[in-house]
Amino acid sequence: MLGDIPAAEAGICYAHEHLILDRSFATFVHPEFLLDSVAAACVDIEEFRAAGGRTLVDSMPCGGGRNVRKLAEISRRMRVHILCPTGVHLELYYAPGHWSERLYEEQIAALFIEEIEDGIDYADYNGPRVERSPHRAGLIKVASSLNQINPRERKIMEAAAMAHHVTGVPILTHTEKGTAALDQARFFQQRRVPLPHVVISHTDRVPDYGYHRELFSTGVMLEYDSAFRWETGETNHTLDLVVSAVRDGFGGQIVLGMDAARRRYWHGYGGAPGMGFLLNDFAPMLIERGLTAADIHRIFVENPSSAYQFTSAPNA
Amino acid sequence: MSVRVFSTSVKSLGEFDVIVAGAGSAGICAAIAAARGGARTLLLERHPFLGGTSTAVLDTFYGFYTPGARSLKVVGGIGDDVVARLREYRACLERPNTYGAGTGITYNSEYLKVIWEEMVQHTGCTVLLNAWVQQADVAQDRITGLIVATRQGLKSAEARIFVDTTGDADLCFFAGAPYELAGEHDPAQMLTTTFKVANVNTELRQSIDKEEFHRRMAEAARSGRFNLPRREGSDHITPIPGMYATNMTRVQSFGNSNGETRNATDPTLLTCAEIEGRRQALEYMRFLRECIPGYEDADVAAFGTQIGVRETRRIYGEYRMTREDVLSAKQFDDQIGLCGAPIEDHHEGEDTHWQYLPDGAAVGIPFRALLAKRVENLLVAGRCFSASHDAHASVRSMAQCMAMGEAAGTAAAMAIHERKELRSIDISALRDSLLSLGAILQVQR
Repeated sequence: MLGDIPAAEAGICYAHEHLILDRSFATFVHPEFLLDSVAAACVDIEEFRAAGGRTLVDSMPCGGGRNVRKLAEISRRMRVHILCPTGVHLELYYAPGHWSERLYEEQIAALFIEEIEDGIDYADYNGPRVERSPHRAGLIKVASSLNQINPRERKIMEAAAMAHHVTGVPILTHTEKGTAALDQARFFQQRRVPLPHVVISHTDRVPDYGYHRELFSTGVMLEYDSAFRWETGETNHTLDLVVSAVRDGFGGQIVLGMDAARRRYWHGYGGAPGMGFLLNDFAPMLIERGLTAADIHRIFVENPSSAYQFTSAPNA
Repeated sequence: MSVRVFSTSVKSLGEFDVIVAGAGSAGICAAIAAARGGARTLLLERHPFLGGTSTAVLDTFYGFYTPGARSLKVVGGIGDDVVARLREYRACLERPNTYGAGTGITYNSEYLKVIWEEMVQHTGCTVLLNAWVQQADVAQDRITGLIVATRQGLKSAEARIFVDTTGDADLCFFAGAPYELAGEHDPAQMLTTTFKVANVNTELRQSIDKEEFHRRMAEAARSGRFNLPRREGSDHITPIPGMYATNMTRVQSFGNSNGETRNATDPTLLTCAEIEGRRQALEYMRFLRECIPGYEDADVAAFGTQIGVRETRRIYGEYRMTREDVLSAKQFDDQIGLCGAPIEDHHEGEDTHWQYLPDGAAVGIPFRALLAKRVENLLVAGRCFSASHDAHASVRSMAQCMAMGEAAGTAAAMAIHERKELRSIDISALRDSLLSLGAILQVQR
C-alpha cells in the first residue's frame, strides 16, 4: 500500500484477508460482509502485531468494497504492510451489467495494469471517473465458481495472465469450496504464469489430501484459511492438511490466512476468534503436532514473501 | 510440360516457435492458443483480412450445438470468446437451423473480420496478411522453414513447429505429407458462391415457408425460364434488417480424366468455378426477384470474396476418421473436440444428403487426426484434417475447426515449452489444459 518493500522485510504474513469491505453492491446483498470501520479493524490488527505479525494481504479486488484510503490509514496507523489487490471477484458480488461482463480480456488487463503501475482507483473502479491513488496494487485477485471456471471467470483469468506478463504481478485466486483448483493451476500453467506465484485459496475446504498432493505437484502455492472454522468436536482438516503436507515435503507451498470476511469473526466488531488466532492459537497446535519452528517460519514468513514477490516480466 | 527451376536470394521474416499457415477459423484459434501458451507465433494469411471461410464466404457458425430434440453445446473455448464479442457488438443472432445442423449463429462478417483481428493482436502473435505460402523446406522429415509470397516477392520464415490450417492442406502438399484429393475416391463436395441481398421485405419473404420456397425453385428450374442447378438452396435473415444471405449456387468441383483428379486446387478449374459461381448467383438473384415474395425490390449487395470450397485435400494423419466413427458417435482416449453435426453431403445433383448421429450424441475428434504422417513437426487443423469424405462432411463445420485449431495451438505451445516432439507430448495433460481453457471434450447432458 505505502510503497514497494523488499521481500525480506515482509515478516510474518497472513495471506488472504479482508480488512475493509466498504459499502458496495456486495455488502448491500450480503450485509454481514460489511467491514467499514478502521477503528474496529485496528483492534484485531493490534493483536496481530502484538503476536509478531507484520504483513496482511487484503483480498477484495475491484468494485467489491475496496477502500484504498482506509487501507492506507490502517497501514500507517498500525505500522503493518498491507498488500491490496486489483482483479475481479465472482459475479455475485457485482450488480448486473457490471463492466466485468462487458469488457474484453485485453481491456480488463489494461485496467489491472494501470492499478499495478499507476495506482488503485479511489472510486474502486465503480466510476464514473477514475482517480488514481498513490497506492499501487500488489497482486491480482481472480475467482472461479463451484467445480468449474465459467466463461466470464476464464476471461478475467486471461486478463490476469496478460497483466502478469506485462508487470510480473503475483496472482491470488478464490476457489468455491476449494473446487476447480486443478483447473486454475492448469490454466495458469498453460499461460506460462510461474505457478509458485499463483496462490490458490480455500483449498482446505476439500479435506481429501490426495487432491492437495496433486495440486502441490503442479508447483502452485495453496492458501488455507479454515483453521478456525471447523466446529468443536469436528476434525480440524486444516490442521491435518498442514501436518501431512509438511511431513511430505510440501511445507514450502502453504500459506495461511483468516479470510475473516464477516463481522462476527472480529474482536473489533464484538466477535471471535479475532485476528490473533493463527499466531496465538493455531501455531501452537501445529507445534504440538510436530511442526518445528523452522516449519512455522516457512509458512508464515518465507512462503508468503516468495509467493507475493513480483517476477521479472517478459512482456514489459 | 516444361519445367523451369530458378533460384533467388530470399530475406527472412524471422524465426518463430510456431508458424500457422492460413488464418481461417482453425488457424486463428491455433495462433491464439499457441501465442497465449507462450510460443512466439507467426500467422500467415493470403487474404487481406482474417477469417478465411468465416469472413470470405459464410456468415453462420454451425457446429456449436447438436441438432435434434435437445440442443447440447459441444464446442467452447476460444469459440465462446468469438461469439461473446459478436454479441457485444450486437452483430449476430441465433438461428434454429431449418436444415437440421443444429442452432447456427449468424453474424455480420465485416464485424467478424475486426473481431478476429482484435483477438489475435492482443495475444502478441505476429500476423502477416497478403502472405501466401509457396513452398516448404524439408530436412529429415521436418519442415525447417517456409517460402512466402508477398508484395515484395518471396520471403522465408523459420519455426520449430508448423500448423497447416490452409483448408487445402497446402503445407502437407509442399512438405510431401500424404493426402487424399477430394474427387479421387468419392465425389468431392460441390462449390458454392454465396451472395448477400439487400432490400428484402422480410415480412413478405416470411409469408412462404421452406417447402414452398423449394417448390418454386424447382418449378422455376423445370419451366426452363431459369437455369438453377441446385433445387434446395437456402436463404436466411442476417443481423442487418432487410439483408438476406444465400447458400444456393452449385458448381462442379472435380473431374477425373486419364487417371488424374482435378479439383479446386487446380488453378484452371478454380478460375472457371469462380466465374461460373458468380454467373450462377446472378441467375438465382433473377429467380428470387421474379418468384419469391419480398425479393421484388431486392438486389445483390455482395458476392462472397471467393467461391466457397468444402473440400480439396484431406490428409492421411495418424488416425483417419470414418463414416462409422461419426454415425456411431465413437469416443477416443485422445479426443480434443466434439462434433454432433450430421453428415451433410453436397454432392452432384439437385439435393443434399443428411445422415444423423444418435440424438444428443457427438463423435470425438482424436488428436491423432491432426498429426500429419511422415512429417514430424506438422499439425493439421480445419477442413483438411484426417478424415474420409463422409466423416469430413460432418466434422468440417467452423465450430469444429475452432476446436481443432485451439487444440493444435495448445499442443504446439506444450511441445515448444517442454521441448518435446508433437508425438511425445502427454495427451492427458493436453486434454486437461484444454478443459481448463473451456474446451468441451465430452457431451454434458
